[in-house]
Amino acid sequence: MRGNSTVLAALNKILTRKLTTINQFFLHARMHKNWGFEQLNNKVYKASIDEMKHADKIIERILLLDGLPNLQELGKLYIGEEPGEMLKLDDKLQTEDINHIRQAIAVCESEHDFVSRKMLAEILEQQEEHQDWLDTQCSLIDTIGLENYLQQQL
Amino acid sequence: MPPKFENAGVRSMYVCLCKGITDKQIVKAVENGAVSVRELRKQFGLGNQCGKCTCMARGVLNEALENTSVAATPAQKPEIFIPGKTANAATNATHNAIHNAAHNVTQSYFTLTSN
Ligand code: FES
Repeated sequence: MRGNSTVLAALNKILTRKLTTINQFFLHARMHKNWGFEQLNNKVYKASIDEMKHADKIIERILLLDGLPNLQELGKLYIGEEPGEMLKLDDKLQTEDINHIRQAIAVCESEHDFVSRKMLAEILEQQEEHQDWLDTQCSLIDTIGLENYLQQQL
Repeated sequence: MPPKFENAGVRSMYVCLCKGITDKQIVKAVENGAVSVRELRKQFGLGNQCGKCTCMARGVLNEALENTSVAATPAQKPEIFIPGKTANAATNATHNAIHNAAHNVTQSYFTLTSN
């Protein structure tokens, strides 16, 4: 099936962001693990795998639309040096991802690609859930303090 | 004594991941006289591998430069000259300036690229 080039470009852009987020989350997860914060490791590792599943869906969709998924492009990673900062940076990245997915949804809408639109909307829903979790962690750190917070993450 | 960099609420993150260079290292380099990305490149090899960090490094560098130069100016001309004490006062002022610089960097240089 021949896809619309505007939609394909929008999907590839989201793919690049996904590939970037997979890596940032994965590295952060294993840094948490290395310091013994098992709970953070589990949560962030799972988020990374979820990102990979999203990337998979986008790759398959691009192929179906006769496009070429670009797995070579990768954005800048924002890697923190300590757990609190790492969560904040993940939160910022996730927020940016969400904004870009919303824009891509608008592109699909205006190009009448309702299947791609639906796929992105499903991805968006999961993103918002993880963003909510990240928001909660950041405000927890602000209210109970980093040390208290980290004690609960062992 | 100004708080140590490590505890000052500085955004502690890696600017250049390929070479493992943090924002704090860049602020320190500015403290030691670095004024351009080229010098950071020479000193750390920053940006020599994938090059994705140069934009952010420039942001960190510029803000550190701005903050140190603005804040450090009074240190250069103390109002009362007390022999023996001046050096110390100036050093403290510079420390504060650099500390402020590190602190201010936290807020604004961090903008994610939007591509
Ligand atoms: S992140 Fe600095 S060269 Fe790759």
